[in-house]
Amino acid sequence: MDNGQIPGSGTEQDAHASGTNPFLAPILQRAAANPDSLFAVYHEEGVWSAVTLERLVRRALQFVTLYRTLGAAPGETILLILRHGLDGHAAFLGGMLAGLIPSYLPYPNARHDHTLYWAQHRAVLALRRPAVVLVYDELHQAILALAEGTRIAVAPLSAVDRHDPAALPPALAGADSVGLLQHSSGTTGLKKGVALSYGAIARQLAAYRDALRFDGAEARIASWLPLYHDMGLISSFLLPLWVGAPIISIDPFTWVSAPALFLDAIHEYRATHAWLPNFAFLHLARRVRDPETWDLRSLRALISCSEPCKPEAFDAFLARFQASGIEPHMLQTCYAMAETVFAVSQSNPGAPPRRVRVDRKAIEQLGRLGVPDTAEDAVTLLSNGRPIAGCAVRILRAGAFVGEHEIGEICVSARYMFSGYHENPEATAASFHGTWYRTGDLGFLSGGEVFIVGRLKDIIIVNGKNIFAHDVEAAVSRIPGVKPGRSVAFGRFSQRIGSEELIVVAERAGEPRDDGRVMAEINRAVVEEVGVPCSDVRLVAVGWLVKTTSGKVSRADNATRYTAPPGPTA
Amino acid sequence: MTEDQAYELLNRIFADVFGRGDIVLEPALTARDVVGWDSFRQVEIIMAIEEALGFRFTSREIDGLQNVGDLAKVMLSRANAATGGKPASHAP
Repeated sequence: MDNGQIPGSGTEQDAHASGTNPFLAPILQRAAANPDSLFAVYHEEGVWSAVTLERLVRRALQFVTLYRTLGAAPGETILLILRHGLDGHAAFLGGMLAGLIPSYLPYPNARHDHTLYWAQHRAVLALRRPAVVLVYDELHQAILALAEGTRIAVAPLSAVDRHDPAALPPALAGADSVGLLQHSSGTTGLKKGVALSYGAIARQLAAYRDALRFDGAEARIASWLPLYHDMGLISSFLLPLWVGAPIISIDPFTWVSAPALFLDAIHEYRATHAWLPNFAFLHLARRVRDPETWDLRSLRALISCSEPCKPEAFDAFLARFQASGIEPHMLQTCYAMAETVFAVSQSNPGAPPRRVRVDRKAIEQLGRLGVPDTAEDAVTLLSNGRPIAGCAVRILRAGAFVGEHEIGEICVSARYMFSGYHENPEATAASFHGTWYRTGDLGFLSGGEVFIVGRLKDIIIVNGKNIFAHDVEAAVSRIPGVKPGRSVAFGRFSQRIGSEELIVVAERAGEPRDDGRVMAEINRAVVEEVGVPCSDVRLVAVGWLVKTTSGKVSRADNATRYTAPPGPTA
Repeated sequence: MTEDQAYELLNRIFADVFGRGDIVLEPALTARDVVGWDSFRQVEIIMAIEEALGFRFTSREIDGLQNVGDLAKVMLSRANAATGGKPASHAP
């Protein structure tokens, strides 16, 4: 069926005009009214190719047929392990149109140990019990083996080519239905699925669109972000799809080795917005060397998000790309999380985010901000702007909310809060203080603007990737020469990479072994477990690690001890 | 350029990038084997090689690098090529 029309458009389409699904209905209305509008331009094999909205929807409807053929029923979960490209987007939209709950999972990183990768995915399959797992063809056999003995249908991506597009469903899932799951990091069954309703998604997108003064008619999004991360999924797929802004899309792996492609995308397609983690500003500033220049004047906002935004990264980017038309007001900040769909706060478009100098001691002691006594005591922070409409932020310390300029845990209440962690009411309940979601991030409010200073939760963010300290420690404990359970992993901000770096301290045990060999084995195990190398591994004598009163190894205390001058027992 | 010269240069570059001289370079050595060899250091290594030898790695060459032996092979082939490398265009 290839008559150039979306099946079921026309009278059925009209029914959707009054549809109750606030996310899907506007997209389908636009696809019927402006089928030739541009959905995306993909960079594949060195070539840029354009895809219209009609082609996206028609391809999505082929996936609807495939999912139905595989026996998936509305309300069931489907997991997508797909590479960059039209099918990555269409398979997700098709899942939504079929009333299913789609979720992206990461594909194997070349650096991962594949045995561990599959063990982790076996745990996710057992936990989620998806109706369908759709994978790119090269992974099909491996995932089939994982799903053996279960009722999960595993399909290779190429299977979709054998199916005609379905007609548009007569009814879409309602506003309160769960529209998608976002999976947290974590390499074991600890992965949590953040369930988001269509109502929450649409309310967030409307609020964020307004905060950005985003005009779907002229906005164009450039992106190399992976879709299994909330920043890529929401900012650079669902938001542009919903408002009608084209996406200029680059494969994440291609971008890492050829970062200038991102600048090509902005230059060539006059992109207006893009989201990047902090490290990417430095990566671009350093990897893309003078004297090459681009015309980047089309940018309205290049938004730093998903790891703490650092002034040094903005300054380096500005210095490198001023000659390409970058101005200070284009560099923006956003504080976001999957639990509120995406944005909590956004800096004011058109003006550089505010910078404040605060006393480092206040941050370390979680106290009230003060004026630094000396330059060494001062740390400059970038504002993440005010909470966007429909969202409120409060600061919690010692069980009570505190006022402005007091540091504590950031808590959020929003009209677009998640529906809970999928089938995990205990984890959901544990993450709230009354009606306020506890983010695990530390920060303060100043003039109503949100500033982030650190984290309570044991998550290390390396180049935008969330890593759980306990996953790293579990990998380290398996190495001969390390005392099991006597290692600690933590993050430390590095000016070198513009992100946190991963530090491991482990106590020696057993037969003496060559330290260099043990450290290399630890590094290998950590890379294979979480896909990120250690920036430093320190082996210490038994008894070096500080324990809490309950006998657990304390990450915070040992991070402090690590940075202190080496003691006699090290 | 000979293989020995390539490894001599790599030894100097690694000592400079990592700030230590105890890394024993051999063809099978990978980023996993060296604490601190992250993507930023990879970029620094590549840029230092490009600077020293006056050519630019292509994306395909960078994608194909699995270990130190691969790095040395690209260095040898590029340094010994008659025409040398051409800077990448920034237009898509």
